[in-house]
Parts: sequence; structure tokens; C-alpha cells
Amino acid sequence: MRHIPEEELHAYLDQALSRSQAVEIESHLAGCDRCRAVRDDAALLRDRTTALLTRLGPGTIPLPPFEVIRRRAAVEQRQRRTFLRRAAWAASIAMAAGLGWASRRILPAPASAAPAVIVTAPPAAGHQKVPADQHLPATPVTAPAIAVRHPPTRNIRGTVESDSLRREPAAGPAGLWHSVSLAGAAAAGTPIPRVAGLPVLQIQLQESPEATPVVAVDQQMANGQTVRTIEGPAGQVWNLYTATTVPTDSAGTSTLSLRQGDRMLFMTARVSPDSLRAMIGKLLMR
Amino acid sequence: MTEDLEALYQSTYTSLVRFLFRKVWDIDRAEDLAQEVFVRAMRHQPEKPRAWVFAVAANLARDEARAAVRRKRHLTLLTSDPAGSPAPEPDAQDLVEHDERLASVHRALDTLTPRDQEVLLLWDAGLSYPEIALRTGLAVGAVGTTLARARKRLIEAHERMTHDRTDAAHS
Repeated sequence: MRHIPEEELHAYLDQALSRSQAVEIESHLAGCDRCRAVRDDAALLRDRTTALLTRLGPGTIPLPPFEVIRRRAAVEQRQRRTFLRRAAWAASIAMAAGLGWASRRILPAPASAAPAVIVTAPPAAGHQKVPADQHLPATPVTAPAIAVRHPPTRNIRGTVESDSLRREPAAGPAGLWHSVSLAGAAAAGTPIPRVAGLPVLQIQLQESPEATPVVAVDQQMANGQTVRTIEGPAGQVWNLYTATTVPTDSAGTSTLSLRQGDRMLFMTARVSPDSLRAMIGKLLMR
Repeated sequence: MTEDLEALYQSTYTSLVRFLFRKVWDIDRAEDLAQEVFVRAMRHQPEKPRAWVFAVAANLARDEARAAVRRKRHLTLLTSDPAGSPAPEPDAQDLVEHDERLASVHRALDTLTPRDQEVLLLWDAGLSYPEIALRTGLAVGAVGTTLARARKRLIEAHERMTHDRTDAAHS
């Protein structure tokens, strides 16, 4: 008489066999001590596995109402539409800004008369409505104007400025900021630190002759506010960090910094430190 | 169609969170990813939604693991701002490791081949043999074989680890 293969007994115990197969196995088991023993071993193995895996946790998992999924799906759909629109004009702005920068480098204009290309965000930004049920501050969406010669700290905090930030182009290339497009930065091999999934509003570089550039990236969060990421050689980034971050900020701005070796990065946005931490978790470096 | 998905959500969400938790080892992330999976399911309206949600969950968890490795490479030290906001939470991995008993199961699971592990976790999440077969590309007949082997290896590996520790404690 043919004995039942062990795996078939597992399938039997897992109720993965057809009714007729199960009946066949049961009739064999009734008259075969050896297969019954194998079945008992298999059942024990199965139960011990389940017990072990249960121990891994997690314990009780709350089931949120399906409405949570529906709402999230609706928000994501809106964001996707907005992202496509925004990406289109962001690209054109980056180009305009890039042209301004290039012309300034080529033309021997006096430093004080350097052309600053200022582009105001189109009304498209107003289309994005944040649903009231998202518990986000109901601030109107404002896309920052892009100014080529802005130090990237201007938007974060207008009250405190340090010498290093007010430095004029004449003071040396280290103080000079210019905008680049994402594609342009990628082509140049410059790593652009940014949060995955958020539209990039602008990217600015501060070139320095002796080191890699400092990169400042502005991205729009779901609530319309801007999150800014600055990355570069630790010394320069540290200077910016100390000059731009305020220990206590009534507006609820959070700043997180990361350091690795001679590189430093910080992120700042008007969100809770936890939200910022979650965004750092989604940071891309390329 | 959305009603079907809602029914699937009611019956599968907790299993999916458990399945994801065993890949990302962070309950908040697991819950977030599980919800993301259903958000995507609403968009895609898959034909075989149960197998589909587990397939997408497995992919998301894999991307997550890759991203975590990348992050560790780039950023070794995390400091919060001088305002004194709470220090970042330790890695979920570290929290898990604190519980030695739990860690031994975790490690035993890690000794399995990716395929054995996947089949075992899918089965534990409540998928049927045909659904596991669909997800892993195995023949339905091979699911029982894989599962029998995976169970045996998990128990053996776990016993080995528990014994090793007892021996070490006595020596």
C-alpha cells in the first residue's frame, strides 16, 4: 500500500485538498498507523509554527474604518493631478532662472546691476484645496517667488541675517546662489537631496571653488507649505544652519539636521518634528 | 467593485498589517503601508484582489528595506534641533532585538530561504494554496512541499538557537 507523502498531509491539514482527495486520505489514515503518526507530527509542526509566528507580534491591530482608505485615495488623486500641473511650470521657471544666471556670468555687468530674475508663481497653485478633515493648518497655498540671487534662507526667516548670507557676489563665489533644474543637476552629477513624492519647487546651488556645492531644495508639502532641504560640506552648511534656525519659533517651524563625516544636511519646514522626521525617512540623495 | 474591496479590506487588513510587520518590523510603518496598498487597490481595481494586495505589500516592503539600507549608508548620525525636541526613536529593529525571545524567532525566520519565508508568511496571513501559488509562481502542488519544509526549518532553527543560548548560559 502506498503511504501518503508528508507534504500531502500538510496540504490536507491546511484544507487545501479537494473533498475527494481528503476522503481518500482519511480512509487511508484509518488503517495506517505509520501515516497517522506522520500526520500527528505534521500537525504538531504546524501548530508550533503558528505559535512561534504569533509570538512575533504585533498583538492586536486596530481596523480603521474603510472611510480612511477612501479619503486617502481621494487626497492622493488630487495631489497627483496638482503635481503634474506644477511640474510643468516648475520646469519652465527653472529654465528662466537658469538663463538669468547664465547671462549674468557671460555679461560683464557691474555686480550691483546683476539681473535678478523674479518669477511669480502662476495661479495654478490656488487649485490645490486641502480638505478640512486633514487637520492641517488652513493657510492659503503660496508658492514662493523665485529669485536667482536669493540666499536660500530668505523664505525661512526674514528677521535674522548673518554676514555670510548677505554677502554680495563681489565678495566671492562662495556667497553666490543660482537655480538649477532637477534634470540639469542630474546631468552635472550633483546629488539633489529631496523628499520622495513631493514636487520640487526650486533647486539652488551655492558654488565654491574648493569644495562641492551647497544644495538647497524647496519642495511643496501636501498642505501647500514649503519644506527646505540643505546639504553640502559640513562647515558651510553649519554656518547656514546656525544663521537660519531659531531655537523656539512661534510659527511652529521644525528643523532637523543630519551629519555624516564632512557632509551635513538640514531640513526645515512649518510642521511638527515628527512629520519632519517622517519626511527625512523618505529622503532621496540622487 | 468598491464594495468588494471594502469587504476584502474588512477581512484582510489585519492579516496584511501582520504580514508587513514581519517584513518592516515597525507597526506604524506596517499599518501605513497596508493602507497604502488598499489606496492603490482602489485605483487599480485588480481582478484577483486578495493575491494582488499581498503582492503589492511585498513589493512595498522590499522597497522600504532598500531605502533603509540606502539611508544608513548616507546618514549615520541623526541629531534633532537644539530646541530640545525629543531625540529620534531608536530603530524599530533595535526595539525588537531587546526582546530576546522574540529576537530568536526573528532570527530563525531569517535563516529560511526567501521563498520558504514568503510562502510561510503568506500562509500565516491566511492565503490559500492557490493564492500563494499565484503570488510566488509555484505550482499549487509545490506549495504543500515548500510549506512542510519551511515549517520544519523554522522549528529546527529556533530550537537550535534556544539550545545554543541555554548552553552559553550554563558554560
